[in-house]
Amino acid sequence: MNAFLAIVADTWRQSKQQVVFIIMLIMLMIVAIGVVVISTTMEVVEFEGVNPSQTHEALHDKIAKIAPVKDHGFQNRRLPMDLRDQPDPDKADDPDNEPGEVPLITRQVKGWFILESGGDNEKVVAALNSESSLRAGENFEFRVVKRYAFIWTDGPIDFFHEYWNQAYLGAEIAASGEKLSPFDGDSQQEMQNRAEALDRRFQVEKSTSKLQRSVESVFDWSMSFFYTISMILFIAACAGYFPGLLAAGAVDVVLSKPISRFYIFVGKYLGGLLLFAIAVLLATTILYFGMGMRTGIWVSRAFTALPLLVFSAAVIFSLLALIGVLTRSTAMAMIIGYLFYVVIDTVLATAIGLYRSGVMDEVAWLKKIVETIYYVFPNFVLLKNTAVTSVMTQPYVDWQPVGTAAAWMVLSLALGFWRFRAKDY
Amino acid sequence: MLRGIDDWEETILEFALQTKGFGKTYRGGLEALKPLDLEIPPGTCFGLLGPNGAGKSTLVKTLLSIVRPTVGSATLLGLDSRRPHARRSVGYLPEGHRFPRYLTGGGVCEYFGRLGGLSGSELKQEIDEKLGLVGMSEWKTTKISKYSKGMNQRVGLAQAMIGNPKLIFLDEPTDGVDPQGRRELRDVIKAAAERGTTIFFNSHLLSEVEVICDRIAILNKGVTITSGTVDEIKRQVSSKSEGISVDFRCGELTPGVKAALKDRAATFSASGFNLELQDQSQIDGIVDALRRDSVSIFSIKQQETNLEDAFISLIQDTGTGAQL
Repeated sequence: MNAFLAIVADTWRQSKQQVVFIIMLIMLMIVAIGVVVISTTMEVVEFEGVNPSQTHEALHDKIAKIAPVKDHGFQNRRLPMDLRDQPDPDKADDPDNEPGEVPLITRQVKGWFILESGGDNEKVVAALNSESSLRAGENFEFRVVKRYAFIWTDGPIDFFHEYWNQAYLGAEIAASGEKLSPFDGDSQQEMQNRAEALDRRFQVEKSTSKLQRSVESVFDWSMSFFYTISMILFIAACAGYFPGLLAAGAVDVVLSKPISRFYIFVGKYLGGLLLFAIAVLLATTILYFGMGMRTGIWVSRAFTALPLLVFSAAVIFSLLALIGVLTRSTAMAMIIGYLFYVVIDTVLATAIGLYRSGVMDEVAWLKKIVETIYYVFPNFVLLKNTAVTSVMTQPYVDWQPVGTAAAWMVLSLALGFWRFRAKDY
Repeated sequence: MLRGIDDWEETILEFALQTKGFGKTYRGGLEALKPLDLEIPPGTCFGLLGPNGAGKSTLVKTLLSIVRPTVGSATLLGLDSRRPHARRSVGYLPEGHRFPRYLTGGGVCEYFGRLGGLSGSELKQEIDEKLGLVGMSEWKTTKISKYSKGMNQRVGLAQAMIGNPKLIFLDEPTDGVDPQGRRELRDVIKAAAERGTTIFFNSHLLSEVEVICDRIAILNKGVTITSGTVDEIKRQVSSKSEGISVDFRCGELTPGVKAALKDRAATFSASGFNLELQDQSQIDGIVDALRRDSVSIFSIKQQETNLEDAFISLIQDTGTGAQL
C-alpha cells in the first residue's frame, strides 16, 4: 500500500512541475470565484393574477401611487407571438394578431417590479394586496420574492430560469426520442409552448422557484465551463504521466522495486485521476459555498455532476494511458487526445444532434451510420450534457454515452495494462 | 529451492542469486542472453565483465524482471525472481539512469525508499544516512536537474542502498565520476560488501572490478566465457601463455650486450629493458651475460597478468574484439 501511495504521490509531484496543470487549477478557481463574486439576489415584488380591465401601464401607475417603484421594474411574461411588431399574415383571423399589441388585459398575467423603498417590503405588499383600487373586479396577489441578478444589473435576470426550462425540456425531449428540429418554425413554437407550460407548472406546484432555477442554471453553466476547461487542460497534463514514468532510464528502478506492474499502472492512473478530481471538487466546493452564501440557494446537486466529470476524465485518460504505454511519447498521446476530444468528438456530437433534430430522417444510410456512432463511440459532448444537467432539480441522465464510454475505458485500460505488463524496458 | 516469502529472512541462504538455464531471446530471434547458470553465495562481491553488447545489462534487467526472461529460472535471495517479493531486499542502480528531474536528491531516495516498502522515521533516517555515505547530504534539497553526472551517480548509489538491501545490483556505478569520487564510492561499496551485502557489479573499469570484486564472470555474446575469483581467472590466462615477460632494471648497457638483446627482440626503456622468455632458466643466462660485461642489475621482475590482459585475452579467444 505504501508503495502504491508512493506512485500516486509521485504523480502529484510530476504535476506540480506541469504549467498546464497549474493553469487548469487557476482557471477553475477564477471561474468559481468569479461566478460567486458577480452573483447576487434582488428582492422584488411579484404579482400574479387576472387583470381583465386595465392595461399594465395603468396598473403600474396605480401601484406607483401606493409604493414607489423603479420604472424599469415592470416586466411581463409574454409569449413569443406577443413580441411581434407586425401582424402575422398567416393568422389574419386571430383577434390578437395586432401589430405591436401587448395582449395583457385579457390574459392571466405574471410580472414583477422592484420596490425602491428598500424598507419593509412585506408591509408594502400587504398594502398593495389590501388596496381596493387595485382589486376592483380583479384577482391579483402580490408577494415579496428573491430573484437572481448580477451585481451590476438593476433588475433580476429572467434569462437563467428560462434557460433552465429550456434545458430541462431539451433533456426530456431527448429522453422521449421526439424529434424537434431547431431549424423548423413549428418545432420552435412547440418548444416554446412547452417551456411556457413547464414554467406554469412550476408556478402552480411551487416546487422550484425562479431563484432556485436561476441559480441551478448558473451552476449548469459553471459546471459546463469546468468540464470544458478541465478536460482540455487535463489532456495536456495527463498525456505525460505514463510516458514520464516509462522514459528510458527512469522506469528501471521503479520496476526493480517489490511492487507489481499492476499496482504501478493503477497507481499512476489513479494518481492522475485523483488530482483531477481534487481540482474539480475544490472548484465546485467554492462555487457551492460561495453561491449558497450569496443567494441563499444551496445547490448540493452540483456535486452530482462531479462523478460524471471525473468519469469523462477517466475515459480520456485511459485512452492517453494506452497511447502513452504503446508509444512512450507525450507528444503523441497529446495529439491523439486532442484529435479525439476536440475534432472527432465534435463531429460525432454534431452528427448526433442533427440526427435527433430529424433532418436525417430521409437518408436511411446516414441515419444508420449515426446510430452506430452513437452506440459504438464515446461522446464527451453527450457526457458533458448529462453531467451538467444533473445539477438541475429534475435532472435527465442519458446512460447510453456513459455505457459506451465505460466500455472504451475498460478496453483501453485492459489493453494498456496488458502491454505494460508484457513489455521489456 | 523456492520458498515462501515469510521465512526467507530467517533461513541461511546457499545462494543470494542463482540462475538455471536463464536466458532471454527477443522477439525477432535476437538471443540477448543464452541460457545461463550462475551461483553467487551471500556476501560475495561479484563482478560481471564483458564487451559492449555482451548482455550484462540484459542479465541484470532480466533478473530484476525489468526484462522478461524467455527461458530458465532464477532466484533472488531464494525467491523466484519473477515475483515482486523477491525484490523486497534488493537495491539497483541502473546504467544511464534518469531520475525524475522534478525530484530533489532527498526526494529520489524517499520515492524509491517508499517503493521499497519503507516509511516514516525509518525512511528519513535511512535517507540521511545514505546521502551522508555518498557525500550528498549538502545537496539533499537540490533538484536532480541541477546535479552533475557524478552527483547523479552518488544519489543513485544512495537510493540503491536505502533500507540496507541484502543484494545490490550496480551497473556502471562510477560512470562519470571523477577519480577522487570514484575512490570514495568504491569505499562505500566495499564497506557494504564487508557488512555482508551481496554486490552484483557491472563495470567497464576492469581495475575497479579487480579492486572491489572477489568473484567475477566474463560474458560475451550472451554466453559466460569463464567465472571464478580474480586470481583464478588471471592464472587461467597465464597458464595458457607460452612464456613469461620479465622487466630488467639495470645500469648502462655495453654495445655488445645491447646488440645481443636486440637479437632477442628486447624492448628498451630508460631504466632497462623487457624480454619475453620461455621459462625461468633463461633468466639465469641473461643475468650471467649482463654480469660478464659488468652491467649492474638493479632489479628483475616478472610481469604479472592483470585482469585487463586476461579479459582481452579471453574475449579474443572467443573470436570477438573487446570494446572497452
